[in-house]
Amino acid sequence: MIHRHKGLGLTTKTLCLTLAVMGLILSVIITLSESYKQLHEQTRNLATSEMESLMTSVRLVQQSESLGNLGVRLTSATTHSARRRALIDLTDRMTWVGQLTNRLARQGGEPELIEQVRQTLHQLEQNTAELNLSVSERIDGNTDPGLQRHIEALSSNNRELSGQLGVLVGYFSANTRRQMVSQSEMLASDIQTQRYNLIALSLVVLLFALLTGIYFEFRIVRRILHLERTVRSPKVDIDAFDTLGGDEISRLSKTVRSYVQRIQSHEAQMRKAHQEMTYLAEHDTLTGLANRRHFQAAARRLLRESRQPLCIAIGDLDYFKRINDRYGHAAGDQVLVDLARLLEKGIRESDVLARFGGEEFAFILPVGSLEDAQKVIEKLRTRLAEHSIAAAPNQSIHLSMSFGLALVDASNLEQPLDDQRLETLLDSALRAADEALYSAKHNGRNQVELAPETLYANAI
Amino acid sequence: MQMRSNQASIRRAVTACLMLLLALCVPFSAQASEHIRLGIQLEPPSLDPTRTAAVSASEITWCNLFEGLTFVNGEGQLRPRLAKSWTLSDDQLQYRFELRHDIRFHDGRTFNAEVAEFALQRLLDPGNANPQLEWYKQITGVKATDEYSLEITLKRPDAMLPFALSLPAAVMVHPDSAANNGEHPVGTGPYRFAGWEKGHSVTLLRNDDYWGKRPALHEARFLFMRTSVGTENMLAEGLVDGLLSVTRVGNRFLLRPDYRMSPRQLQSKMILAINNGRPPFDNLQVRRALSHAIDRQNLSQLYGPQFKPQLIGSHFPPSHPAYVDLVDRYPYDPERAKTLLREAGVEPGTRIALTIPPTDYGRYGGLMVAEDLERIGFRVELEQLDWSRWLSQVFKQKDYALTLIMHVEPMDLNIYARDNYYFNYDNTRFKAIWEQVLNAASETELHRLLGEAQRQLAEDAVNVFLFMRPEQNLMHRQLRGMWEKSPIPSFVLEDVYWAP
Repeated sequence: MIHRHKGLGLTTKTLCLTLAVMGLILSVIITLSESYKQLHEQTRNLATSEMESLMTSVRLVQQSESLGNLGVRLTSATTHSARRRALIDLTDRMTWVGQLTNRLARQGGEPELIEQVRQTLHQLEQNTAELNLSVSERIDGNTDPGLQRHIEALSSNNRELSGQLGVLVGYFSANTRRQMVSQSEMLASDIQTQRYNLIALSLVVLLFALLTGIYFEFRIVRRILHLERTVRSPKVDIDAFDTLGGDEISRLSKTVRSYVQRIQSHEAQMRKAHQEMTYLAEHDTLTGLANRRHFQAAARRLLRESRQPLCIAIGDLDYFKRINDRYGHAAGDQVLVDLARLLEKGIRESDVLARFGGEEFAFILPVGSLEDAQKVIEKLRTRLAEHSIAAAPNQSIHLSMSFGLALVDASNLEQPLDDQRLETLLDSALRAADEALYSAKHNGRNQVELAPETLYANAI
Repeated sequence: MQMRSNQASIRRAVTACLMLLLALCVPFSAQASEHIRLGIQLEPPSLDPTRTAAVSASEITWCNLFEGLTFVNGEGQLRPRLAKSWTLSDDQLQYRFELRHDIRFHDGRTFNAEVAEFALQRLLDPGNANPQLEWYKQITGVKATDEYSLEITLKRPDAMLPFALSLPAAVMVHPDSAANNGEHPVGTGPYRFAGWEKGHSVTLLRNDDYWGKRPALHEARFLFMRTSVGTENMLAEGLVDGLLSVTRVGNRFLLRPDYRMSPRQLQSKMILAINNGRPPFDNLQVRRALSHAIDRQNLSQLYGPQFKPQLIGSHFPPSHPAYVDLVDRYPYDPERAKTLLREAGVEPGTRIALTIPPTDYGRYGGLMVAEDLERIGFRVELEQLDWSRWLSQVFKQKDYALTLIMHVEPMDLNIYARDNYYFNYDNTRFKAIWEQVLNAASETELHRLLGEAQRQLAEDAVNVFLFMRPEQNLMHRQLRGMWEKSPIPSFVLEDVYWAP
């Protein structure tokens, strides 16, 4: 018997394993999606805000550079129209530079540098306003050399401030580019890490799936095969069933085992009943001796098989009615039982003894001749006559029996007897023995009488 | 039974896992095509269109964030919105609006007739300075008769009231959030306010609890384009998906395959507004001189040679049946202008300031106007103001001489009848005409009176009426669903989507 600890049911285990596998796969997916999300975020950040920062700073550089040219345009304006146009363009660009600077500040540029850019821009705005006024004065006809010098100084200052602005925002641009490079390197290394993670996680999932498969092979498939083999074997070994576990296969095994046990127990009962019935059909219930039916079957068998003649003898207890009348039927029955034991002891192993009914007994004795049989029966009769039987407490009685013997010879036949001839032979033998018994009774009882002739099978 | 419940639990677990997987997948897809970035020139000082005259406030919020009882749809038709229907009494003095049920503001508060009554009473209170108050002057009473019925009584019949109630200035606001709507607007619309990065952008997000159809776009960002060069940069790099008004730079971008022109049905009138109360412009002759001085034909080429804007001679769109062609009332004639100035005693070389808003037309139109004015003897200095300063200094305090400005509100002739409007127009005669306009018995009479009103403005040369702005927005070629026929200055997002 396979011993197993009681545990969780298969369904629960299957559910647990399925959930475990699903959980594992899910956690892999979540981990992957999280890492992809992270990568996605990084890429997006790189593509949007970093790229935007870079573009913003590059735009800023361009715009700062163009401020210098616009300043020159303002300085060289000879009409108010040209002056205004230059001023409008300058203001537009300076506003845009201011906006871009704010953008850069929001994107996380270095505050001190941003402040420096703002201050420079503010100085540029003031310088431009002053330049505009001076240029306007010049256009209105003021030819004072002092004014011209002032304009030149302002213009040069404008160029210097624009240049400074360009240098400052150029630093942003370079910085952002550097940041982008380092971020993209980081991204590449992250992608590599995620690749390894993916491989490792996939291996874990595969290993787990494999282990689950092995577990199912051992915990389910093999046990079912074992059950099948146990049930299939010609002689089912009850102890081979795996019944100590608590799972469904163990329960199935238990059910099958109890089923097999029931079948086996039914089989045994049937066999016993059959034996009993066979016994009852062939034996006399009182004495346990063979009955007439068994006697006849045995006689037929012996007639068919025996290589020597058979003596058919019938014995009848003398004056049995008197015992019944005097001691009662129970005592009479007991006498019959004792008598049967006595008779049994007196015959040979190869002989057959049967109770034919009432106080009548029959014998089949394979013998060489009728005389041999007579010796056996005579010995029996003598022993009985000398023996006393207790019919009742302290009441021993002496019994006697009369016997009629007939010899049948079915040996040396060229071909086996057919059923009908066998029956005829047996009937004749019994009748002859009966007739001899009658003679014995008639001649005064307690004696053995022989049938006058041997009955030969080939004479039938 | 045990088996079945186990199977059921497995099935549940599998379903849960699939749902989780789906949930994990969703955020990575369907994102890019749900955003829109729109360039808008003027950053409004407030996002409450019931409190500010800045049209950009209504461009951002109207029918996106805020909704009125009625609205004009993309086909230009007047329809109920937060109202289900309305009826007019036989004497035409009482409107009864049946309101929709189950409308909620973005903060979860309920909209009902009481809220509508509050919103309209707030509109009518002169202390709240509603920019379009003139439209509602004939209302004498607003009353919630039951939870979802609103009664509006008038002092005289006004067939235009349902239209007036569709204007951005009449959107529904809740008493608990109205005071804060300028900074953090709370409406009932399909989009809710997500943030305002001053100087940069306003962001709206789809309102997933919206009572009506769910819009396709998840996020809309209105970016303020304060400079021409900035606009050009942003367009060049694809940092905006469209511009909410025509600009000089737009044309160039039509060369690119990703932009196209998308028409609008606005009635944007470009004028050189004159402070009629400030010398020398309190003199009619000086104002007429200005009208002769401006070369409108030349100025109308501001946006590029392919646009042929319609010139105007008064504050009225040529598309209206009551339009009177007064374009030639003051033909371009600098000599005549100079004569008029001389007669009015204006010395050559008189310095005047031309105040310009921070728009494309302001900057480049201003340059052209300045040259025209210098041609007749003025010395012009351009004064560039940012938009909130323009609104406070020019529009509210009326501290200006001349300003180049666009009036985009539909049917806004009534501004000339207003007291204390920034034109400082002494308008007794015009007011009389306008009173008649409001009481016009028939359409013919109405049109005749509107014609008279236009003529009066032209005669008084209140402003220099320049041209109708070409209403062509530069939009990304793949954008669809714009309300191109709506006369309301707005950019309604609810039908906008990206074509695949």
